[in-house]
Amino acid sequence: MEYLLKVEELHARIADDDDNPDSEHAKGILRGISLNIPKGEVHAIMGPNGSGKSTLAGVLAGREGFEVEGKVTFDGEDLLALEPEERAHKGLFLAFQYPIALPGVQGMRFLGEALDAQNRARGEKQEDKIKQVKRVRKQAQELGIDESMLKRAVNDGFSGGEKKRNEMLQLAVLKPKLAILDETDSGLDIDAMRSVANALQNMRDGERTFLIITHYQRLLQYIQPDRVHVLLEGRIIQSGDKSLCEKLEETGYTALLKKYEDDEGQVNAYL
Amino acid sequence: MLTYNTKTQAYPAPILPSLPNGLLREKGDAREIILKYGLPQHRSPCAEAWKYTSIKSLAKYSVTLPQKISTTDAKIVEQQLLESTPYINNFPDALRLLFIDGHLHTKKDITPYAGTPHVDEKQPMAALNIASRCEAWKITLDEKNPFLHIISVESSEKTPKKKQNHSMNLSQKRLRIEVAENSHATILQTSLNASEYCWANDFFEINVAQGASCEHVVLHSSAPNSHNFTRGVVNIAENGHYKHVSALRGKGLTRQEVSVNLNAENAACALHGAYRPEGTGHIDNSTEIVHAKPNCSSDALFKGVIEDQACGIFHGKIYVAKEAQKTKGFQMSRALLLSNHARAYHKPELEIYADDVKCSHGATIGELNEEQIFYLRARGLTQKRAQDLLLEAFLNEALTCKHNECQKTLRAHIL
Ligand SMILES: Nc1ncnc2c1ncn2[C@@H]1O[C@H](COP(=O)(O)OP(=O)(O)OP(=O)(O)O)[C@@H](O)[C@H]1O
Ligand SMILES: [Mg+2]
Repeated sequence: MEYLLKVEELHARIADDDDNPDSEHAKGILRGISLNIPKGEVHAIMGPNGSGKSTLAGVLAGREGFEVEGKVTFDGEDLLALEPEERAHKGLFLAFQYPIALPGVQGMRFLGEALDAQNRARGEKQEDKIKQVKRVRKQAQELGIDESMLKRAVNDGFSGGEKKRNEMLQLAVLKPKLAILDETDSGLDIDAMRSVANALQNMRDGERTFLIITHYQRLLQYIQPDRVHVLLEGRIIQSGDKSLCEKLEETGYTALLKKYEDDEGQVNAYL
Repeated sequence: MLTYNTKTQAYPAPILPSLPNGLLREKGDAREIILKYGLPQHRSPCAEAWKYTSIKSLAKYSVTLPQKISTTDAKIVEQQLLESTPYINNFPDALRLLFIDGHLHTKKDITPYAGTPHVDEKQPMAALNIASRCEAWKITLDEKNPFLHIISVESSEKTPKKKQNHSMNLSQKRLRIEVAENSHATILQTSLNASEYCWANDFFEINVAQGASCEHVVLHSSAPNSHNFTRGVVNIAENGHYKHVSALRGKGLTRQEVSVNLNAENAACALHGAYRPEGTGHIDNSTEIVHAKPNCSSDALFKGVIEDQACGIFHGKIYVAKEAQKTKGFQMSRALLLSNHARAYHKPELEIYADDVKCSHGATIGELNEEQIFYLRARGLTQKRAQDLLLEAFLNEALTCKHNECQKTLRAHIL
């Protein structure tokens, strides 16, 4: 099987957190995650608040401030050795849970800069600016994003849902090999949820790969993920097919953790 | 008239560099000020106004006055200038005044000016200028002649020798610009100080007549060890409008004083500026806006990006006279520090004697936001490109002007 992303025993803890050995995170936020995603598949990660989902996404995208151990191979390369922008150039994209506002940076300019930077890094030729603008406008329209949003400063004063749609637009425009969506479905209205789901479904061409972090079944019902993983206290405690998320809805996370701990024959001090 | 504080004779002995014979005029208030108080120092009357900009070190130089270079040499200097800064030629419709070492090398539509502008003891550099015998010119801008391009350069030849001698070339000039009634004028002022151990000290007087508007765009860059002072005094008549936009950068010391008098109703001014000192550079923006009459508005906006061990200063004062009701005065200063050794000081001051006014001021000093940089890098921009884009976004607000080509040049100069 050809894996686009291969995560082996990934650990992450806050850098310089040594002086606080009693802190909840002394053992680390990510505590040995292993995860393989074959090319072209859609995987979902679910898990309670604070379980480490965004940390995983951030560590994969190259966020600083963590001490990281383990191994991550992305498209045959040692991902952890790359700078954040190099990861983007290689085709990794993170849709942020909390997109960052960039006052003074116009949306269209931002997308143009990102496209040009990626083309340049890949040794591809620069896209004609007029074509680029046309293409972006069309994609915005398909996502139900008003053209005027592209003239505004990125995420500056955007509503929660607008920010999420804007992340989707970037994803559509940049066409990454692997898109990690960190709760992109949170805060979307029903129509927006549908258009996001449609957009994802359209991009799902057997080549492009998705890792979708979510709290809700709804998006997953539209998308039908190939696999679902449950992240709890920095570990993936269970993986299964899409029926797992329905099961979760019934039992909740705590029961799952109990069962996991019992199976492992451990006593968990946290419970 | 000077108002000396006779009770406290506490002013320290003046410190001054050795000035060449014949530089100063025989008499006048300005002469008295410069000789009595010398360069700004602790406890001198200008101490508060010069709190963050120390130029005492100038006293160790002996000052020399560069002679006017020959027409042939001037052509060479101009040629070099065009090669290093080709944008100078982007303004073919402007009336170009080329000053080399404070001497005018263009003779066109301009007349000598003999007036003695007012100066007080808080303005030692302006006092030095006005007390000095230097070139002084007067020009009128109107419908026929709406666009003035003032270029100031130093001919740099003898620099290394001067350094050994501890001597410093002083170049000064005075310019009085009249903006005629109901006309719309543009002044582009480029002072590219490329040579070390230069001391430039200019004085501008701009009178904006009734219903006239004037956009004054300043591009400046300074060489290490150079000292650059300008004071601009602007008087605005009824319905007159004046906008000053400056882009200042460099490794030398620069102090730009702009003092605006809103002398009649419905006069307005905007003082905007972006500045980027580097190395051990030091840039001081000092503004003073006097609301003398009702219904005037003013808006000051300064943005600085400060690198290395450089220092940036904004000292802005708004004065609202008792009769100046319905005044609107806004003042904002923001600085970004790009290194641990960079420094910024803001000193906003409001002095308000009218009761029906809207005035505000704000000041922030910050750093680049790491989250924003990460967001941009996660989209593929390099660290450097991400930083440049954020700096551009930060400075842009203070870099707008109506004149398209000027705006382009302004941005190209500082971004
Ligand atoms: N920079 C940080 N400093 C301190 N603690 C942190 C930091 N980043 C993450 N944490 C902690 O690590 C834990 C995991 O955080 P993370 O954001 O990954 O959770 P999450 O699974 O995405 O939660 P949610 O569902 O609420 O988004 C949390 O307890 C959080 O407080
Ligand atoms: Mg999260």
